[in-house]
Amino acid sequence: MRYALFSGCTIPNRFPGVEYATREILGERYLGAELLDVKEFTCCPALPTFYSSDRFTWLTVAARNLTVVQDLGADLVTICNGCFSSLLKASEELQNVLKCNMVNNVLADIGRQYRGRLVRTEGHRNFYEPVRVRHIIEVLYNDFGRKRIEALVRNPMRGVRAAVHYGCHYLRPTIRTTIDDPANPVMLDELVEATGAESVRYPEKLACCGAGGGVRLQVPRLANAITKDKLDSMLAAGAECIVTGCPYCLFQFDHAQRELRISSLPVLHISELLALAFGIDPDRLGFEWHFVTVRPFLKRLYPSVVEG
Amino acid sequence: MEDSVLTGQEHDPDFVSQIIRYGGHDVQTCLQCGNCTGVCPVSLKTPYKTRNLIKLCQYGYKKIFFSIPWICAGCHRCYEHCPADIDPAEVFVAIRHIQVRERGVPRWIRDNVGLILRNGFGAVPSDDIRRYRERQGLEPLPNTLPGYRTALEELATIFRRTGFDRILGLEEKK
Repeated sequence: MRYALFSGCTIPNRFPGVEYATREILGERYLGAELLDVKEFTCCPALPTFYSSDRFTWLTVAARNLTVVQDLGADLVTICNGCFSSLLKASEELQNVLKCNMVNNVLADIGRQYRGRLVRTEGHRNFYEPVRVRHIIEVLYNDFGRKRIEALVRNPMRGVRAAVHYGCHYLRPTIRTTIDDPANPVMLDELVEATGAESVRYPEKLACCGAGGGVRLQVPRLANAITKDKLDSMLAAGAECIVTGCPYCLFQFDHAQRELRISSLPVLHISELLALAFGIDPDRLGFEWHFVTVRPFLKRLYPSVVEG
Repeated sequence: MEDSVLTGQEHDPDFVSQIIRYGGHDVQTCLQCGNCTGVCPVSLKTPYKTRNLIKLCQYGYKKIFFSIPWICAGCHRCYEHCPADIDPAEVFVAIRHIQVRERGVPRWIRDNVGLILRNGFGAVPSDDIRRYRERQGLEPLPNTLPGYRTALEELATIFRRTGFDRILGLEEKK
């Protein structure tokens, strides 16, 4: 399987360990997928900045990113809910011929044209389909499946109680995104359980982390207040760690816990959790950039591997 | 917000059509059931209730929105629960479009877009992170590569063509 990895801004610049973990688990040593490195991507672009101030600019910049992958014959894989939602929304809006033409009118100035991915040719006619934008959780679940992931686990996480946080843009709005059941999502839970850990039930599971839409940037106290409700609910369910598919939620949980000083649950991206379970050396996963220390958690899991 | 008395003076009859023009839904179909407020993380913590805000849109109280911070988290839970098929999150996006054009753009957006114009992304790595990436054999970040300049020029061209730099007031600064 071929994928073009869209790593976005937060992961490579703030949590590079997540990018390393994703490349390792998808790469030839574990799941055996082919990852293409595309170096012409720009910002996805971010929804709170671009989508809120000018929809057309947002669509054009997103279309530019899609033109970069349309000829590679690969699905675009995102590891961030923000990139996923922005690019997926764009890929779907570009199916509207009028909008697509308006965008192409601007893209012509930079020598690009959005057509989509070529699926087949009949005589002189070419048939295209929209560029497929995918999320790492759904790729792991649909393309590889729970069984293959279970078979790769070397360090089972038996007895670990994990609170799963999907993140809003993985699930909603459902008019565009129906990869998982928005009222009762299962994919991330099953991936977590494939490692041997237990996914705890808690009432605030589908709630927002509090950081989205620029709330974190503008009113950090409000963002933390929203996060606190969620954390309380996780703690009451007896969670020992948080697992999410979005680096911005990760950032918010990490930051809020340090500021609120109510708990210190380690926050892991699903790629990091799988990398740990597959037996990748925890010292190489860049946990030093998490604000809440992951050390005690790792030490309990792998007493022989982690020192100090 | 709930305590303040509204007078007819701030009323703008064009507000709803303006919202629709900027891609928001027709807020006139709102039934005032309040499902949106019940699931909104921001309504839970602030005096700004989604249902009331939609009512204010229907009445055309545009001015009030200019004094409310941009705090919709964009989680779209309101949309999932709306029986009238309104997406309040999209309505607030439309209101932000109006605000940007009539009252100027918030500073953090201008800073963020400036960063994206210079680097292609809204974040830059620290030296530590750069060293870690090299050590782990990760791909160099695109914005550290010499050839990436073309991508940045393309972005600048798009902003000029769509009028985004004018909307943000980026061109005056140069």
